[in-house]
Amino acid sequence: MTTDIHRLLDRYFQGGTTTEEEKTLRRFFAQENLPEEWHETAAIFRFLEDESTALKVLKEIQREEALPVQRTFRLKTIVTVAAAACAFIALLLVLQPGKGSSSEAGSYVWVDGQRITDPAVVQRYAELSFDKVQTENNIITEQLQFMTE
Amino acid sequence: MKTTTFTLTFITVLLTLTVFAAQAQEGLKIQSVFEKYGKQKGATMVVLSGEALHDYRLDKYRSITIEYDKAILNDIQHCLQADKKQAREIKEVISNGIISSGYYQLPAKEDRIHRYILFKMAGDGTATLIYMEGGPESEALINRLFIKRK
Amino acid sequence: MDITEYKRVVVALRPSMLAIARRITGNKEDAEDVVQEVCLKIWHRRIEFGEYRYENLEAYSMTMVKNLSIDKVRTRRPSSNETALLEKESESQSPDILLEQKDDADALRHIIGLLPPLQQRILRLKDLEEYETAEIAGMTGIAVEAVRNNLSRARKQLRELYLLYYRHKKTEL
Repeated sequence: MTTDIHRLLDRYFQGGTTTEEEKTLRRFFAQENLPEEWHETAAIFRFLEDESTALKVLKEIQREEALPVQRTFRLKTIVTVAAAACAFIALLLVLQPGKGSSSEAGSYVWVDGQRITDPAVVQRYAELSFDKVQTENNIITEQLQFMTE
Repeated sequence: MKTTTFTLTFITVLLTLTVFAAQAQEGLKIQSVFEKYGKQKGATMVVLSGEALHDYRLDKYRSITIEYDKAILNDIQHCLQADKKQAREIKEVISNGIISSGYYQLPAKEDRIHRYILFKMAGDGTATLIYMEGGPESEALINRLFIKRK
Repeated sequence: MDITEYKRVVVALRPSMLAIARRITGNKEDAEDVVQEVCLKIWHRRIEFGEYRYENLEAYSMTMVKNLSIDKVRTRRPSSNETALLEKESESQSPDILLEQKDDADALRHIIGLLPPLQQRILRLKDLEEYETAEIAGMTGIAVEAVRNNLSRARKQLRELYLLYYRHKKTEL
């Protein structure tokens, strides 16, 4: 049994264990009355087990919390390539007074559980979301080019 | 081989033009992602609607950016896997079995309303999912904005 | 204390802990960091708290939040106003051996924080959030081999640094 643990441990420190195998290690080191040679290693595994358990619960709690927390919002500098997207979104929301409020009717953004309807803010968030999806697809075209070369 | 920021192990590019015989389903699995996570902490959900969208032949725009954990990620991946089955055009990047970015054009509702799903996972622990509906003209526009950058 | 009771305790204490932390640190992010650390400590020390009644746990938590919040502010560069405030806060704390003790969990958490960013991230994803290696590769856009290598380096580093701490601790006793 202990040779198995030694082998598992070796693989663990090589980074080659699966989640199941790591559970096995954690269970082993959770035991009481382990021989002295295991004490340091046991401390590490016990910490990881406890910390991951607690973190899971804390994440759950944060998700369930109704507390609206203002997330600091940082504007990304919009690159020229995304300018087209910005113009697109700006036109979508049509902020000219002549158009009337009905053009923005129904546009909103939920941030951390808070609803915002201010058109300028909604626009910024919409631009951000465009941005997030846009960059990746550049990689697709690059890879396409590579494959057809 | 060109070095890119991301080391991709597997790329799928399907330009499928088969038209599905079955009627396009109304309910998409990804809608549940917006419903479930849209209003929670760690999520940003944008919903655009109204007259202005019509100018660009877009009827609907909905996006969510979420700080995902294991459960959420699995949920989103399952929804994408389910919905992409009916896609008539797919461009996606799959890395070790996980869709890390994707563009899916779904069959048009009533031959008129084109539907698109876009998805991307960022390196900062967030993922963004966008759903759009638009008229026939929207396809060119969306292609230009999302797929061809230069 | 089992995990369900832990959740109940945390849910009950979080609002007041956050309030104290925000008052002292002045911002929400730092307050959340402090409260998270105290909540983790409560779980790591659950056996000791098993003996205590709930009221003691609450008192411990609030004092811990105060202390850690003050520490957080101290690591920034304080203005003269803040320093005066800090002195005032510190005076009201009664010395408590249990509180001052930095334990193994604190050391390990600190060590993880010392790792280079990529190694730290991968270690957290694997050992604390329990994603599979392949999933991590997909999420970070890094090859599976590279994830394994970073994980290996991180784990070995963790073990080495913890060894130093452990042996140092033993010689002190």
